Amino acid sequence: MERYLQGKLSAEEEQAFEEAYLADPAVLDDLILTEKLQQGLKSLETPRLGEVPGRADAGRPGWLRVLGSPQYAAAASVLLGLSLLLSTGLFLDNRDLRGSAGIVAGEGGVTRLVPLLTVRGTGATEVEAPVAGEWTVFLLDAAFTQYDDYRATLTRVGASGAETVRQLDGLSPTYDGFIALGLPGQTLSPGGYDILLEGRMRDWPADRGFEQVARTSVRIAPPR
Amino acid sequence: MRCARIPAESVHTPGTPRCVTRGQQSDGGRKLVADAPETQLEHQISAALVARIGRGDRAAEEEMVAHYGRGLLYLLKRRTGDAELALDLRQDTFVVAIEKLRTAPLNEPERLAGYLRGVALNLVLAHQRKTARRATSVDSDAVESTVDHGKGPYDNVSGDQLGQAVRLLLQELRTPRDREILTRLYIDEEDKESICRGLGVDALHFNRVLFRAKERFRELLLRAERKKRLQLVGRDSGR
Repeated sequence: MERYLQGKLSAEEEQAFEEAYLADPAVLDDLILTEKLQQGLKSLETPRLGEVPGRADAGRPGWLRVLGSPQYAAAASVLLGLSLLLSTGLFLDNRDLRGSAGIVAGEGGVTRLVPLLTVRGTGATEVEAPVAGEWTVFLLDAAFTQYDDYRATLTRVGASGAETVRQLDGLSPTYDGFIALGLPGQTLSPGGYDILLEGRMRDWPADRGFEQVARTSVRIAPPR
Repeated sequence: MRCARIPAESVHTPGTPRCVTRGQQSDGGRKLVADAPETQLEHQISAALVARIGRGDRAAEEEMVAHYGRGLLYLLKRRTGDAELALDLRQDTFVVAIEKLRTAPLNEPERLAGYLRGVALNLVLAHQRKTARRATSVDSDAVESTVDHGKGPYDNVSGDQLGQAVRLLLQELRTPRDREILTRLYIDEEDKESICRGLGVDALHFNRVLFRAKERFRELLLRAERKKRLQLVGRDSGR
C-alpha cells in the first residue's frame, strides 16, 4: 500500500492493486487508513526521531504526568546507569569464577546469558559451546510486540535439513523486556541453530496460531 | 512451561495485505492472486452481478454501484486530484457500464472490477483530452444514488483529529527506532529496504511495527468516534 501511495508500483502491480481495492471494501478501508496515517504524520511539526509532539498532558492524571516528566526520566536514567555499573561490576567478578566471558555463577552449576538481537545484514551470532552441566540462557528481544504469550522453538540446521531440538511456550518478557530461553548444555552441540520466537494473544480464537515475532540464527562453535 | 518436539509450523507474516496471499501468481498483471478465497468470492460476485444486470435486474445495478462505488471514487480522486470531477466521472463510469451490461455480457464476467477500472481510466483520459463526455439516457436509479455510497469509516475525519490520533500513536510507540520507521516511510517516503538497512532492522520487525501501528491507529480513530472526542460525521458504511 505504501508503494502504491508513493507511486512506486509498476503498471501491472498498480492495475492489480487497484482492481483489488475496487473489489474488496476491506482493502480499500486499509488503504484509506494508511493514507490518513501518512497525512497525519506529515501534518505534525516535529515527528522526527525521539520527538513526541503535542503531548496531551492536560488530560492525564497527576501521577502520570510526573512519570512522563523530563525530570523523572532523567532521574530514572541516572538510576539505570548506576544499576548497570553495579551489574557490570558483579558480572566481571562472576566471570572470573569460570575464566571465560558471559558466564554467571549460580547454585548447582553455571549459567551464561547470551543476548540475541536480530540485526539486518549480520550473520549468525556465534557462541562457544557450553561445557557439561552448564546452562545457556538466550535473551530474545520482544521489541515492539505486546503479545500475552510467547513461544520459542530451537531448530538445529544442518546439511541434512532442520530438526526441532526444543520448543518452549508460556514465555513472557520478564528479564528487562527480554524473553529468557534457558537451555541445558547438552542441547547445544556445535553447529548451526535457528531460534524462532512467536507470540499470540490469549483472547484469540483457539484455531488461530502464533504469529512470528523474530527469527535469529546462532552458531555454536566448538569449545576452545 | 512445556517442552515439546514438534515440527516447525509455517508462519504468517503480520501486515500482509489481504490481496496478497500465499500461492499468489501473476498472469500478465491481471491476476495477482489466483487461489485466495477472497478472489474466488469476488469472481462469483462479479459474474453474478453481470448476469443479473444482463437479465434486466435493476436491483443488481444498485448492488454494483454500492459494491464498487467507494473504490471507484477513490481511484478517480487519485487520478484526477479533483473531488468534484471524480464524482462526475464515477457517475459516467457506471452509466457506461450499465448500458454495456444490459446489452451484452463481458468477455470475462468475473473481472467486473477490472472492467470498471478500465472504463473509469478511459473517461479520465477522455476528459484530459478535453473530448465531450458520453451522453446517455440510461434509465436507472442506481446511478443517481451513488453519492450515498461514497462514505467510509474515516472519510470525514478532519486534519486536527488526524493529528491528535497520530500524536497518541507516536506516544505509544516504545522506541524512537519504531517512530523513525513510520516517519521515514510515510514522510520521507523511503523504500522499505532502505529503512531496514539504515536502522539495522529486518523485514519481519519492519512489518510488525507497521502492522501494529496501523491497527492501533484504526483503534484510535474508532475509539474516538465512540467517545465523541473526534467528530466523525456521516458514519455510513455505504455498502
